[in-house]
Amino acid sequence: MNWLPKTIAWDDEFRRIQNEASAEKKWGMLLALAKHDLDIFQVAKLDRLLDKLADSQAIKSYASRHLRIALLGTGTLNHLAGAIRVACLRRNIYVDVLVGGYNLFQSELRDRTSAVWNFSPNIVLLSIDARYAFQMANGDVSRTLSELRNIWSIVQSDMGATVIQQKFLPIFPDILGNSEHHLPSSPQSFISNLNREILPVGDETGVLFLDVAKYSGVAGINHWYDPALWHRSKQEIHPDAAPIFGEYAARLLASSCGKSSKCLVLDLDNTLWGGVIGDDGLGGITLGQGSADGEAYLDFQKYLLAQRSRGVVLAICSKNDHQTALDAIDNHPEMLIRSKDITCFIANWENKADNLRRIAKELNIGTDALLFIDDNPAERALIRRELPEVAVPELPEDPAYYPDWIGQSGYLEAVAVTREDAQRADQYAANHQRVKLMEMSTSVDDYLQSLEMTLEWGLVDRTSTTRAVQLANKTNQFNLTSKRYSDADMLAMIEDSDWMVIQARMKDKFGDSGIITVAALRFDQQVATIDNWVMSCRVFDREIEQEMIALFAHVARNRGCRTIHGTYIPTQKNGVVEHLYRRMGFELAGMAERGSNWALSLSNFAPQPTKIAVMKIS
Amino acid sequence: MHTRVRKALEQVFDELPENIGDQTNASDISAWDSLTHVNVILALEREFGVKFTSVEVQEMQNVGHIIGLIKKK
Repeated sequence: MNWLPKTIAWDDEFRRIQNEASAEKKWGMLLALAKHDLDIFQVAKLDRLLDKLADSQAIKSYASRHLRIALLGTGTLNHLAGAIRVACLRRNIYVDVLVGGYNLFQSELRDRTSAVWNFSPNIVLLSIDARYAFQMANGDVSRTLSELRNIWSIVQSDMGATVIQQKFLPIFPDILGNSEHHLPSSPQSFISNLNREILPVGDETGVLFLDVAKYSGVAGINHWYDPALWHRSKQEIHPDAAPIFGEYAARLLASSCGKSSKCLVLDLDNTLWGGVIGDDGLGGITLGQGSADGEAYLDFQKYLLAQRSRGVVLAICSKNDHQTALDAIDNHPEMLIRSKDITCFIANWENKADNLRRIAKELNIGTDALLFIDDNPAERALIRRELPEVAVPELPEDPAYYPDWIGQSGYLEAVAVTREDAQRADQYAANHQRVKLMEMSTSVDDYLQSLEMTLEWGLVDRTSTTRAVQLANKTNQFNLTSKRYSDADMLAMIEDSDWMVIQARMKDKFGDSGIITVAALRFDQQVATIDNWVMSCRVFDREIEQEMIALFAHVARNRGCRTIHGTYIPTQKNGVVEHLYRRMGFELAGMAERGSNWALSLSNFAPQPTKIAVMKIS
Repeated sequence: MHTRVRKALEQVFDELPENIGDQTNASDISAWDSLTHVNVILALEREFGVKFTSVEVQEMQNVGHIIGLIKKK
């Protein structure tokens, strides 16, 4: 794991953690240690320490998320559990792992009194070895798939958990060789066919795939699988590969609950081009065809633009004179990234930690959504110290390896691409135009009027669950209860007639902001309850919440309700909606377990007027 | 030799007996079970730059025996 710094003074650090009195600091130190390139022995030690401290102290309450993972399958899997926990710790996620019994996954899932059911996991990771897979249906791919589909359905429908299916390791030796596909009975061909055909089948029901077939190819299958170990201890995945296995699993888990980087913050000198623009000038920097280095920087810029076009926002944070830097970006003939591609541009001589805070604020995202790319180790160390929540990968000396390292670091992992993702960078640019318009407008009302807003609402259906789940899970600010929904939860809600999941799209004269709000309502006789309601921070202060409340009132009245109930549960990030229900005319109805309950009587509710045209789209 | 064996064992276990001698075996280290045995082998292989065969791994009795195996390689 090249992108993680090597460990220094491991033993000392270990002792410091044990001697630290404050549980919060302990968690922070464990997290910092986990962000190093650890081998299997270090991972196992850190996992034991985590276990010991979690037992005796409330350290896990400082994690940003808790997950319960059942690791089920065939062969010996125990060595993977610690690796998953440590890699999740690296992302500020605390994980409880239950490792299933040896080869017992089928009965454990079918028997509702089993330890697995008792554990009530949110995630079931299925790790089935290639030999077992080959025997499941005598090497018949489609029958193997239908068996797997049955197993997934138990997890998704009965247990209500998310399935992560590990793809199958290409462990079988050549029988024919290059023309292996000509031999129908070849186990090697079976695995490659299964790995290919499993994807559309899993996609139908929202199974996530852990692609060890691809990743074992990065290091070579011999680094992942050793037949001697299989025969000796039934470990299909070599302990040396366990840390990277855990890392791949953790990034999938993190991105499925919305924890991945949204914005690439880039340095300029020796990051986007070779040399120093302030010293070398426009003609002196290395960029473009003709030199190996210059082409490598071009390749890196291409990679960054590919990330931008799938929804990652690009920002610049450089120690440079503003005009000099801007001039290089827009006037160097070989530059691929131009200022139109950059949503937030900061070139000054101030502290980069302050600049990163500013970028996060301008984009209205958390600093934990930033990925900081800088060739200067001192800057990286500064950010790691000042803003430990920012992702800061190491960079190789040779720019030829930049794209590879950033790609392998996995900070930008995403489980799905929605239409909103692809348009995100443009939407942020439209936001900048809105800010300019607001500065020119004489009053807020004028401004809102001039935006010519339309809110198009409808019910979430099977085709739109992906975006709804994504929005519900990654929204931290306008999020009233922080309830997270899995794909399985969402499907269950939209098919239950006691529930209604409403989504709405915002359009204005600067463009389409896409689906920006999702609310899950539950109806019980005369009461409609807002189970959770989220809204994208990009559309705050546009009076959309007033329209949404009017909409809730409308659908609730249609179902004969007299009251709408809502709960606010405070978190570190959702202060923006602390007074939302009061502002919307709700009355405090009492305290909830961790927050407050609110009620809106529909008998005397009248919607507040806004500047938004509302339309129902079926 | 014993110091290097100790170094390998330290990678795997949180606590070790004060003296690691020829007679030291799995029963002297409480966490040394069939699961951690795999890691002990890996740590030894890495420390000494050798690879044990499956038969050798099965027949390992104590530290003295392991050192004997390494010396033959």
